[in-house]
Amino acid sequence: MSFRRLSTLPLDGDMKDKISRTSLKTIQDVVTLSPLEIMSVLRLSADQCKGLLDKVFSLCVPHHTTAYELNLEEEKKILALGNIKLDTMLHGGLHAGSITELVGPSGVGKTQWCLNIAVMAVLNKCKDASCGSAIYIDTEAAFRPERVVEIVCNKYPHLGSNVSKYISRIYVYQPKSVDSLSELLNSIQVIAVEKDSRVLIVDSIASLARKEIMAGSADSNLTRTNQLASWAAKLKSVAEQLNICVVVTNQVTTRATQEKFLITKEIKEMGEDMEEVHGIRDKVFFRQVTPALGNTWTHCVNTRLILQYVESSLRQLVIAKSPVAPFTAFSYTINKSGICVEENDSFYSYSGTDPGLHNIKVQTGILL
Amino acid sequence: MNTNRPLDELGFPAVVISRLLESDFVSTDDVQNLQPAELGSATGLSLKESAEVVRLVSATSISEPQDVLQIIEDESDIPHIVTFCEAIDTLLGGGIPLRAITEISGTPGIGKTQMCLQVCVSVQVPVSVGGVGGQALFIDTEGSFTSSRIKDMASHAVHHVQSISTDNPDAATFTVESILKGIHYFRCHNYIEVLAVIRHLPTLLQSHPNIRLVVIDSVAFHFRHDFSDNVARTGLLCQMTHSLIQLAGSHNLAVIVTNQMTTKIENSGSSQLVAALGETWGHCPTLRLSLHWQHHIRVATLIKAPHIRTSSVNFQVTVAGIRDISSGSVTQNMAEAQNSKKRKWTSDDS
Amino acid sequence: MRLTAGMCPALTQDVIEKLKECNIKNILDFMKTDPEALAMKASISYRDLCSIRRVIIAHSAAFVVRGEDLLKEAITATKVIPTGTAELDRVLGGGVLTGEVVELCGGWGVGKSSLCVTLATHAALHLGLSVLYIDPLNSISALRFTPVIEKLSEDAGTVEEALSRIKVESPADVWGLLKALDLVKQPYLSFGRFNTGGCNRFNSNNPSGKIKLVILDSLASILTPLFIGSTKQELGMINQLAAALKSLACEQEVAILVVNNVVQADYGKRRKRNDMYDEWKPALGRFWESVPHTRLFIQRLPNSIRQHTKELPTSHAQNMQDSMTINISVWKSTRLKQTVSMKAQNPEVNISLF
Repeated sequence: MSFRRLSTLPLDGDMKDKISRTSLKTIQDVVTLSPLEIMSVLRLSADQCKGLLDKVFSLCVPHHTTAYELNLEEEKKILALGNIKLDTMLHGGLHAGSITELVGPSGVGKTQWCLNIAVMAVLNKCKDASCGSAIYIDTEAAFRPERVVEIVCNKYPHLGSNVSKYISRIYVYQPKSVDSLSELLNSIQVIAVEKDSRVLIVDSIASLARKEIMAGSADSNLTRTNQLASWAAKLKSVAEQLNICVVVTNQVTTRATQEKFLITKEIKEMGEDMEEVHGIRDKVFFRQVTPALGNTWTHCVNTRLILQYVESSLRQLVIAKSPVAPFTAFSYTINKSGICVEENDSFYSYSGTDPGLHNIKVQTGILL
Repeated sequence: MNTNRPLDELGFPAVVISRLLESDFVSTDDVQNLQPAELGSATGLSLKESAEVVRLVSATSISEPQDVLQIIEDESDIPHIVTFCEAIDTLLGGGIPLRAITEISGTPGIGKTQMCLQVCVSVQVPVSVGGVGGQALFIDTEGSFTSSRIKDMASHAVHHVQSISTDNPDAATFTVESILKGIHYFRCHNYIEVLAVIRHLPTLLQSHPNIRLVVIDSVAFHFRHDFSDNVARTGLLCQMTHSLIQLAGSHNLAVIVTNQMTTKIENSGSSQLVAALGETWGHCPTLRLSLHWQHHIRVATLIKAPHIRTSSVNFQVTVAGIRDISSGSVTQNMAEAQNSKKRKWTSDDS
Repeated sequence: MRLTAGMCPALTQDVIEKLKECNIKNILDFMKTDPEALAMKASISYRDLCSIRRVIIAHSAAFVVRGEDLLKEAITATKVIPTGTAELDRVLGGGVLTGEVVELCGGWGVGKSSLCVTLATHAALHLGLSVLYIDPLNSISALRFTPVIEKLSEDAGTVEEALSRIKVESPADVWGLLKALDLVKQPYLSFGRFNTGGCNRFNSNNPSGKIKLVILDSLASILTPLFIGSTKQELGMINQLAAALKSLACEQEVAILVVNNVVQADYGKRRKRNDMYDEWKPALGRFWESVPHTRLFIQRLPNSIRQHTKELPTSHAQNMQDSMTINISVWKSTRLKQTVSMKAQNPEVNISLF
């Protein structure tokens, strides 16, 4: 709406005449000017200027709805993760229109979760009985079609030869550079509409940005933050405007030295805490491993799911930030049929930690 | 009353003012009783412009100002919106005040949105039960509004209200559906839409006069991303807050805005987390509430308030909404928080 | 100004018509033109033109005033309005002067508005003055006043009468502000239901209720919305407002207290002053910086935010009794001696509010 041309607005003729003599073209041009400026450019009195702004703004007001209508709408489009308890905690699963982030150290199963979600999206019917497709943007070349077949065959043995029909609805894109990803995201809305997608998976958002734009100097940090912010904005608008789920994966990072003083205190406590639970105390716990990409990015994601190691084969999913769920942890294992959440090994708590500073447990032995 | 005023105080564009002054029209008395055509021929202004001058001049009249006594008497019985968390209500001096702007800032995931949703529900508690009995307007910039979460909170609030007043007819009409229908929602995708909704508020308040709460979650999101120029950003932000303040006063509204945190680099090189949007913005909210983690406990600190001392309290976010930490003592809570890691989950809450 | 017939005997309607033909419409045009050339061109006698010139000059020129007279006038007309806080009065040399524009600046939440409310209440209650509180941020509310009133020991009637003498205007924009300032020029203001009583101890020295103290809280909140892009119009606006405030202070003999924000000073350009406040500078830019006669800077002293995490607050009534300590230092002044001697540190004072 903000780019609508002023000449197309229902303003009175005299005003249009005045506007056409200036360099003001769109609504945005007008609202970013100071009222004093508008007065002098258009030769309006303060009163008239206010009237003009009121009129222009009234055309930009977005759609008005109520929570009741939203709720009816929302219940139709939820993508279940396939585990009853996990889905209950998340109020049904992944919510359409929001960004869910999976973050964890390498090898913890981020890609497995993504594959699992993709499979769920193409196999499970949503409430309005339509079957959607999944878009899978794979920046790490980690997508293994044979693994998808394996998951489907083991999970739904009754499907038999229909498998290929379902799998063909997972569309994989493999951009190799920051630019090609940006380009892809620019056109993603068209693709998503054409393919009637329910979910958009980006695995992973961090790798390209971290690989190509080296962190370090303040300048490149800024470039990276801006790049990520623009990706986040695009993903967000796709999620909302088409009302589909967006899932992104993120890597972990060790915290910068500057904030170490603050954080070390906290780690110590967490370290002791771990010791109490598991009886091991390792140096790893003293190192702060947190989600990568920083604070601004964390504000952009709606749900943050942290994946971490508990033991070598047992891994944990932590709901660290969610608009609906409390701080919760589930154990899971990875097997032939994909992700398997252990029903009995979970806890939740109303406290928790800052999701930006959450200390992620990495596999002992394979240090970052 | 003497209403002779200089013409340049009436808000005409510079061109018009200089024409008027050149032709020796200095104060409103000089223009009084002139017809637009006469003024036009005397000054060389276009007919439309002269008409506007005449209109504004005849509209200028000074009304009696209000005095403090009247204001205090008017406001003496204004209720606060209780949050269902007693510690926070006490911290704020009785709840979230109407006719004021309250800012809630904090790191991601601390519970800013939860707090907003909670207040959207609490504002609808009927008057007879000690609530405000109003409706809420939610301006969502981040897309974090979740109606299923509202549903949780609403059902707990309904349960609570019905348990404390069983034979109250108002309590019977207070249902989850009525709560959901009482929350008006706008999703804004850029800052222009945010500004537009706020400009549009008077119209909306006419058709829904019962709205007592306006939430903007978060005010920072678009204003942090869409601007390269800080001056312009502050200007627009102030414009927005100014109209919010005026509306809050004239329509008896509580306004809640949430803000993000940003890292501020000090002189010495050390860094510190502070609320975003800068120093000038800090003057705009009447109350500022900062949420942060202390170990595993959520802490709310009042950092600016006109009427009470600033201090901190603890709170928690539960399935039911924002609540007190039940035991009251912090040391116990610390232990509880740590124990919770071992606590198995029970499905009775969901 | 226009040329009107009858300003002087020589300036008849006939002459004005002739002048108009030569494209001379107002006094300015007339004074700019050489009389000899004009006499030839408009066929008016040179002597007439000269006499018109003399009359106009006599009309428009400023009077010569002796410094001694100015001083006498200043001494008799200027009133000192004590602030109610002995320490602050000491720093300000007795209080705020009429005819003076004082600026209070400070960061958010340091107690600027609280200080203003305390001042207004003191002026209305103990000095019996009428106060105009211009309040674009709607910060005047029962919330803010209740703690102040609770502290007062006077009986309810007196307090109510005093409060009715604090007038509040909440202008929506700068034009509204200029309009609100016009109230100061009104010779008479009514006091609601206390109007008819008429026999209290203050009415004798201030019978009309003419405003003596104007508090503008805050100026920046009115002006910043206008500052989006251009600088020319902003400067014009500040200029106009500064002129309006200063002439109002002078002509109407009122004291004006303006609240302003502070902004972070640029790293390179920080002033070499006391370490404590060199990282802040008043908002609204350099042009405004020179406008106020006196500039005070408020800071909240450290440790005034108490942490209640160890023990939950038992009652907030107890909290309210705690006073807030703020530090006020003088940044600039045209009359306070301390700032003249550059060696001495700028005077500063700690006072408690509430």
